[in-house]
Amino acid sequence: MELVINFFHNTGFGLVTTGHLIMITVGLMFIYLGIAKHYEPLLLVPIGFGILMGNIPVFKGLGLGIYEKGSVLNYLYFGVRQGIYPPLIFLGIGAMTDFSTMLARPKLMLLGAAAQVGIFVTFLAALAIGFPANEAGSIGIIGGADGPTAIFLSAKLAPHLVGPIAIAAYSYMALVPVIQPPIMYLLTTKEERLIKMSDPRSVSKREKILFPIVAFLLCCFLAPAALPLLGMLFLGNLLKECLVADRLAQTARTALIDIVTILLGVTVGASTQADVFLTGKSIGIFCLGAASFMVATAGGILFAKLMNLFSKEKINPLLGAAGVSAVPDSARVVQLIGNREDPSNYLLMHAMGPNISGVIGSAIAAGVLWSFLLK
Amino acid sequence: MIDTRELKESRYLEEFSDSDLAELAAIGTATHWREGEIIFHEGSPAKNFFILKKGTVLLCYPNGRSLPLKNGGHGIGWSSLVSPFRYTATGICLTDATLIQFPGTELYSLIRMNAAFGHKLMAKIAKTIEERKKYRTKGDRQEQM
Amino acid sequence: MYGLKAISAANGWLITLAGISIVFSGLLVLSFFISNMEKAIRFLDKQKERIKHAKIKPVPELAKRKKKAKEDKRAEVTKVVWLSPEQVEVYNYYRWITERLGEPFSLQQLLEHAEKRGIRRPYYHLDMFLQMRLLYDAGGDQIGFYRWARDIEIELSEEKNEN
Repeated sequence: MELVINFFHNTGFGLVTTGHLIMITVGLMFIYLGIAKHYEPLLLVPIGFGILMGNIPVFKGLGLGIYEKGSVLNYLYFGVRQGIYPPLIFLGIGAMTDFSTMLARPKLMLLGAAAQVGIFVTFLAALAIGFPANEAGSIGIIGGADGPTAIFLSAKLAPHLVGPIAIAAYSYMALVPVIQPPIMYLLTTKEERLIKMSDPRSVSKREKILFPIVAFLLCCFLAPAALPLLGMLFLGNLLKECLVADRLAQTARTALIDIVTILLGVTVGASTQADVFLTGKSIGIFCLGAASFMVATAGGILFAKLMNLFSKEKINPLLGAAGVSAVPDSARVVQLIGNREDPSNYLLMHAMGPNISGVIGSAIAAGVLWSFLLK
Repeated sequence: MIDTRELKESRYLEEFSDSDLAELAAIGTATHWREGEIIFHEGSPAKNFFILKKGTVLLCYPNGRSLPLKNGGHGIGWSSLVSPFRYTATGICLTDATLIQFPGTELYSLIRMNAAFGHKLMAKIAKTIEERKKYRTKGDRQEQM
Repeated sequence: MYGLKAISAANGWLITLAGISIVFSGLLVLSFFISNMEKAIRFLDKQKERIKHAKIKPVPELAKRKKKAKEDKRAEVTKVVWLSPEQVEVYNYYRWITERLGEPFSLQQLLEHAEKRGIRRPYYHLDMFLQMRLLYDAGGDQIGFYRWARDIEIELSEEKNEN
């Protein structure tokens, strides 16, 4: 009988706490949002399941938990801890992204830069409310709206916060269609939303091939710490554009990125164990993350308005909202709002430019923060 | 996945290059519908874009107007790519029909990968929306029966 | 430590200023380079073209297409339409329904009523009548609503011309 009771105490039913149950509910919610609501299902489903895996109450010492040395999950988590997965995802992103919308209208790149203001404003806010500098930097990067970049930087600066930061970043990325529109309406007039963009010029193949090489050299000379992310991003893009390495590009944008996304999602999810995740800090991270997204959106829009003061060809300021690098969701939101004002206004392809430059901008910002804050 | 040649035959895609068509073919699926079957309902989330290959599809707008589309060369379900992201009409097959179906999310990935293709597709969709705009305006007919 | 003190102690202002400047200058330099790269390539291309004196002849594809489109548009106007007994029956049913709906009528309503009354293959027959131009779009403000063609006579054929 005693044996049975002991066995029961060592099962999940015996070890479960309220924290575990809360986190399991969060995990189930992620899975529900991914499957039923189609919110970023490729990310939310593995993360949600990872949360379930990380919150099964296990007997410490069995080598099962993600933080226990030698456990399978711990080995898989190595890729997150050492910042291996994010650059691999960037390789895939590079191999699946056509930069020509940005090349056709380079001045829209500045909107991608302006939206990164959200990162630094949040960094300051996090410092002001008492987070140490390394944690503040990791929280600020949520405003970059780029999951892999957020994971990369927090793994380097504040590894203990990877879970909440990744969850906040991906949750807000999924909520782009909810967070951005009110700010877009608030900061633009109807006339501004009605501005139509002229057709972009066509971009030659040579430009597309030269771009990743030159952009890599320029950006990484300026912010060397962005090397792992930008190096892989531009390598992926070069593989795509040069055409002679199409097999590699194909692998990078399909099998490789899918495998890494699964591993990243599951391990980040599993790292949100109740005792690590359910803390006051996590609440702070979530609040600051939302603010970061809003400031980033506002930064892009206001900068577009500022550019309009000095430029002959007016830019639809809604495009500024696409400066946050949630590709292609924020571009889609821009299209939606622009289309609502004028059904014949198609902003999607114009919004892809700042959207993609936002990816580069947030990677540079991560590099800058890393080099300043690494102790 | 379908054969690129199937797409080459479509008038809707005549401005698209062979490589564009090859990419589209990789994400396209030929779907077969029976006479009287409803392909999508007005107001439901628009998940797929279709190109009509064979047969007649009647687009029924909520204002009572309808537009029959016959044989190849018609794009149906543009709402999968632009707002309102919900179908604006109900698509009913008047005859057995074959449509090539493209998931909206996959098309977005293609647009992301290939901007020139994205521009062409958006121009095509803009034209389609413009052509069908008059069908979406409020009707002046009321049911009398 | 909290507030502005905490920011100053962690060099927050400096990091923020430097960070924003680096991100902006990075993308600014990149955008400057991109805009000039295009010009440089265009210049090189022009030089190349000048050397080669390459001439590209326009392809008469457009003319062909236009001709084909014209041919497609050329429609035969049929004054007498032969229908099988079943088609005549459905035709009469449809006429009866639309008399109550009033012209111009909605095809959706026509189909709904036809289905309610159990008319055989209502979709197929509607398609057939549209093809035979027995029904035409009212156009103008009433676009998308339909009328029966008045200048077409219906004749009963002995053979079934169904598919």
